[in-house]
Amino acid sequence: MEEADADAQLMLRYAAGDARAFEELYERHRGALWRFIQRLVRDAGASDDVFQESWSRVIGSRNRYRPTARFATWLYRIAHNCCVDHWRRSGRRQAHETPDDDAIAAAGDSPAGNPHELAVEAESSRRLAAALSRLPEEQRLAFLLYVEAGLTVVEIAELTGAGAETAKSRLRYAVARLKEALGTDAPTD
Amino acid sequence: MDPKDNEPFHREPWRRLLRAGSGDPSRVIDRRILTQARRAIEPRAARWWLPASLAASLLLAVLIARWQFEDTSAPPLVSESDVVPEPKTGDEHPPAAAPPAAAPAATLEHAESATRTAEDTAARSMMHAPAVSAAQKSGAAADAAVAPLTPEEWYAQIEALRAAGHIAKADAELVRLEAAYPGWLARHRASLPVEHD
Repeated sequence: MEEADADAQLMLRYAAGDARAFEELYERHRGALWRFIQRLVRDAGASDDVFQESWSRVIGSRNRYRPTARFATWLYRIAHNCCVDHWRRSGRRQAHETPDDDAIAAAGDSPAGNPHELAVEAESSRRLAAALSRLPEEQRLAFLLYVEAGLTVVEIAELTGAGAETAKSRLRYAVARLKEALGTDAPTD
Repeated sequence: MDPKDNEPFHREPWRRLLRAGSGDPSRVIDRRILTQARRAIEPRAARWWLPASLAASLLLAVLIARWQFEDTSAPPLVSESDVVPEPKTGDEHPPAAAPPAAAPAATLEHAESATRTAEDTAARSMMHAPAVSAAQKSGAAADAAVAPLTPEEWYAQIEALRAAGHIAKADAELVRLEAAYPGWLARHRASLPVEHD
């Protein structure tokens, strides 16, 4: 919770005029938020736009920000709203779509390491991306908010407007389907 | 809620796997967002200078353009081009028998203007035909000199100046006319029909 408090403090400092505070906040969350949006929107060009729009709203809302919840919850609520707006504008919903080939193709990137391990990891990552794209939207959203954004079940429930038990069920089903898709490559608890 | 319920499974292994297959936002996007964030908190006073300087530049450009336009449209010295070419007819008074010496005064400015025009023409012809001899050039200048104006013609030019709004010039020419043809002006005015209300 200390880190979450630190995020809220950075946001408040930014609202007070400290540009460096925003830079630090951005550095902390840019990667995870970008991947979250990319997995939801599943369109490389559009996900960049949604990403920028999300941060624009953060910047525009700086004076209205109140640390009543964790900063990450607030941030990902904004990002999710931007995704929803994007879907409305494009006139489609991300229900049961076919896997995003670009995302799967990009899944070949891996950090430096043992070549064999890297290859295995890359392959597992590709399969995870494919399986993730086949999840129903609510389950994919819950999974990404939990894993990528680091939100708790309660926070996920609050953000998605569902009850806590519903959020937990969605997570459970999502993980079960992903484990089934990955087989022995699935992470163990 | 039971803490275990709030975190039903370990997220880190899944996070590692997810991130292995993804990249990061591009540096271009990073720069845009950070620039936007910086500009959003800039004090308003620091940003006023740009539109103010643009407005000042525009105003200066307009003023300079107007000044240039007014300068080029300044009325020239008396010349034939200012004249409304309708000398007064039905003038009962014969032209004054002005001595030839007075005529040059009347036509001095006119001749100067004509000479300038001739010189310009000569200069231009020099540009196009550099082999033109000096004798030819002076001859051209001499030919451009016009015959002296009669007082009626001169007065017509003065009236044209006045009608065009060049009051000061018209008055100055009137003085010269009077000097060149003493008494002519009074006679001319006396000859004009009296207007009754």
